[in-house]
Amino acid sequence: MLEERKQLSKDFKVDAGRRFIKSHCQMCFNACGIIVEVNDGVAVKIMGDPDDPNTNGRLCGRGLSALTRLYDPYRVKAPLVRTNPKKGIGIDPKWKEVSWEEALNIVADKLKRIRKDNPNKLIYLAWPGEKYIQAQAWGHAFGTKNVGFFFSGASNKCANPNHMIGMLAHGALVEFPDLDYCNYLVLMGTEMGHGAHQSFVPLAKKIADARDRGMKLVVVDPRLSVAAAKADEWLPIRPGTDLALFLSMIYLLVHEYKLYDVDFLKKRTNAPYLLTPSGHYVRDPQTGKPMIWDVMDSTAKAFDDPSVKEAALEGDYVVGDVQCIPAFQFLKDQVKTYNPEWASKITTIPEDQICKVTRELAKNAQIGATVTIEGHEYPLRPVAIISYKGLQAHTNGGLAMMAQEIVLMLLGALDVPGGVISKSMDARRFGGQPQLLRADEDGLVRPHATGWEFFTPFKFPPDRLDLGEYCPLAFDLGHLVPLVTLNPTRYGFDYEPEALLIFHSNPLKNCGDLEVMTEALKKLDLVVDITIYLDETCDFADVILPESSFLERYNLINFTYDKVGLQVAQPVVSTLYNSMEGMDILTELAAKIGFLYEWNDRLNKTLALEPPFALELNRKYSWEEILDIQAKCHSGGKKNLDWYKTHGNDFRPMKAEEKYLIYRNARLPLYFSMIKEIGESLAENLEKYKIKERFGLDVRLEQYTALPYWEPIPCFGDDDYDLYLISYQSSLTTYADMATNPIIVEIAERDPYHLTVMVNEETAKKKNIKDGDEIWIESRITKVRAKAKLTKGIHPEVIAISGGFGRWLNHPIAKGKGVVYNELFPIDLRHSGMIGGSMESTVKVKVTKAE
Amino acid sequence: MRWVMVIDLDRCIGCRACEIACKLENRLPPHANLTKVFIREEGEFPYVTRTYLPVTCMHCTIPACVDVCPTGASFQRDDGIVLIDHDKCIGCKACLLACPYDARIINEAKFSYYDSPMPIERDKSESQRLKGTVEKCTFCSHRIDQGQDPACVAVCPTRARLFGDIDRPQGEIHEVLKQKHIFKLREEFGTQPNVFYVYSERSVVSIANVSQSKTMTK
Repeated sequence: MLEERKQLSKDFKVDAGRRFIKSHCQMCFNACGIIVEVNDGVAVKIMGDPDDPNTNGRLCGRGLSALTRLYDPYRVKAPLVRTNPKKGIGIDPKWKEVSWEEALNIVADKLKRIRKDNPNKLIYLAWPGEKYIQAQAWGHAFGTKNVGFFFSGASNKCANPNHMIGMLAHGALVEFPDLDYCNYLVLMGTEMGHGAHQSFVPLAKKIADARDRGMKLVVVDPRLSVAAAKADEWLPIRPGTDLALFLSMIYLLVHEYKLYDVDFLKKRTNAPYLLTPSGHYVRDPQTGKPMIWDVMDSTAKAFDDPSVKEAALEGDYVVGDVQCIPAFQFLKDQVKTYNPEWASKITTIPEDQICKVTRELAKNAQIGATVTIEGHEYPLRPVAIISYKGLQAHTNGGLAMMAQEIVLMLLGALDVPGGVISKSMDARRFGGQPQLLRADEDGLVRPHATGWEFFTPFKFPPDRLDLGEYCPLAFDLGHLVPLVTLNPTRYGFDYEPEALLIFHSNPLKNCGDLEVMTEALKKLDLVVDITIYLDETCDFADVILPESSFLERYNLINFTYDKVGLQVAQPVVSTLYNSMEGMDILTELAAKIGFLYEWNDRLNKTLALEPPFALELNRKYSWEEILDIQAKCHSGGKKNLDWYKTHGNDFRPMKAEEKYLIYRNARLPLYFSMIKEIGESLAENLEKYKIKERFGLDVRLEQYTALPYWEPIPCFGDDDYDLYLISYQSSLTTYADMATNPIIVEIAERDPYHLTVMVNEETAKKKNIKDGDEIWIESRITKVRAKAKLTKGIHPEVIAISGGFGRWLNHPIAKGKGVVYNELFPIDLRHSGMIGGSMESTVKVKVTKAE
Repeated sequence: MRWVMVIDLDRCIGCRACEIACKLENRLPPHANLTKVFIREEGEFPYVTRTYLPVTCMHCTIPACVDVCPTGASFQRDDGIVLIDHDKCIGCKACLLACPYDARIINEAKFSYYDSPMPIERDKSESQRLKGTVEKCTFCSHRIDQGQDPACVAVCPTRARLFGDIDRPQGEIHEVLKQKHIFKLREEFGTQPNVFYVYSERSVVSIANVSQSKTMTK
């Protein structure tokens, strides 16, 4: 025992005593408050912080078991450089330990040259959880356009279309149901409050409370997810066909039931805006403002003309000599063939169920009802539809998301009590006060986008290796970067990328086609990985910069959707090993490369720091110092980092006026005119530079539409392959690095599904596959081996694999458990969605019994 | 005074935060669990239900395990909590057989998930428990005695687990017990378990099957 103690004090710098330290969890990005018990310098236990008003002491299994990350013996313990020039999966890089100075100089020397030559030659993949916006600012300061989720893509695992369409529709980066009032919640391919999606712990209780007071839950999902198991109704749907379901909901609301919120549509959307036959606004010749038809005065007026008595939603009109119809009429005409019979054939959901859910949505919306909260009267529309990655990581995800927003607009259920409320992209995240959204010149809502540029102007030759300049409405198509890296000139680039800097991501495991990925990684001169352990991608890295664990670092953030204020994270033990705070690594590099000025300037803008509480541009700050300034700035000098270290957080609930109808007089786009216009301008540019002829690229201009239309996903109808493969996550397995957490893996091993592939019992019978059989899963790219778990809880055409497992890194807990499946997915433009930017995450496969 | 746990099956989503909290609070070695969530699927596609059933020691009013213990190591406190005196336990496993709920395990004392233990695991070797003796849920008596809820109750993301004194007329548990249907597992053994399961109409179909079932898949 004494031996062990001695070893312990040798391994770790020990400070004595028993202490309880407030912090927040970073095992995912939801930042739940925690209290860490530290005994003689060793962190021994994590519990939820009862003073965090989001969780009140509750915490999920990931957070509870976070100490296994801190004390993971397989952490990288010092900076490493490769001595074996040969790169490949499983080939030992023969790491050599070096000093920080040496490691940083190797990186800085190369990046300095790149920055002088062409900063775009650096690809910067940054996904350090909750502080990704701050981290990505470093790439913008460096000057590369290849910054964000590049090389891996949020496109295949996040909900890019939600972010893009949510922003355009009502300034929502992410959408949440207003669970204090909601009576009817439809979850589309997401497990909000039951597993994945955001704010799991806060929402788990809120949804359970809402259900106890009578809220109905309908879950549309190919798999009997946890949410589906708890739901009042489970509608198993064929993957990638949610769009068809929404289109027929719109059809039913506007054609059959004629149930929609006329008042909301007329006053709060562009539904009455008059459109020419080509789908453009009819504009006032003098002011250029879009016009609407006043039924009472039988004349067209500017949309904001106070003399408008009653705006027309239907009919056709002539203004000047132009034939025109209101946008709502345009929508009606567009959806007239999308009846439930049609949708049923595509989705496999029976017609009567489509009708029932739509009717119940409309009925529960209580169109016309109002509620008074904190002295303000609001419409009460207690129905919500929420989707996330499951629905959206498809080529038609953007269109589906548009259709979802249109259904909600028809019901008047956006940003009102009981409906879908938004987490907007204002400075609230960094401690600022919530901001109202303003209207643009056409009267439509203009989203905030603090620290994030979501529209990419056309440019030739292009800069963005995710083809961003050809796909202007994709947040990122990061999964295309490896493909383009292999042959940039083929896509019109006039440069070759040379370096990749990864900050907390593992593209080799979380993207698609392995051959493309590995060849691209090999092609780059310098791959640098800021990481906590040696993951699969590290097999291809040249320099490893060991990051400290979140329990050794500071942070200050607000990741909630309904609170104002900040929450601290702080070291609970002295830094173990020779590791560093990732943000400090970035600052060291910025200083060595010579762009400290730009880095500080970017941070000032991103964190909304203003004098006297702003960073001096030429000074080198530690992350801790930056957070102290952030705390002071947003509290008007009243609070500093030390205050948060003691108190944990200063959250207050958002007021009704900060939460509901935050766009006041701006209108929402029932008719997404801006998407159509961006598409038209793109078409001109593509034509001008002959992009299609010269490079053979089809960037699918048809998706730039003001109204959604039915478009199947690429594998739809590929009858040679009879099953759809989907992946899923649970509350324990969000984020693939959970596969190195022994406590979670132990549970996964006991769980029937996590390390197997779910196959429908009847389907399996036809293929002579029994429970527990080894099977081959084969897509058009390759085949992988897996163990079958038969279940009744999955659509007969679908098999499902739990994401995050199937690791091959050198870690005894993770290695060889679960199914490696990412390589079954193709990476190309055809399998990418243009609106929002998504990678097709469903592929058709054949399944056979393995001998 | 009698401590009871109320588990609301409407609210349980099988996230297993309780399992993990228990494991860490009680410094359990790898693969040892004192509470588990059982999963059961029922029905035919597409009318399939899945029920999550958390199970732990029921801290029975008439504990079969205490009766059969030859050394008096298993005992019941005045507040109803059933505990083990590890100095008296000889690991004879009589209690394992007597318990209708499979709630007891033998401490195998394999301390670490790795070849050498992590600092958080080193503590386990100092724990009062002895290798080869019996382990069980204590309702986190060490926490209760300090006025805290058991770890599994404190962390539960949906608040599916509640804890309280059934003899005190007020409190959260009484509210829930009044509002929802109640059942207990395997009452036919006559041990009078003190873990109450509650559910409402929306969970009726799946609960009916679980409460009658003698075997469950983990």
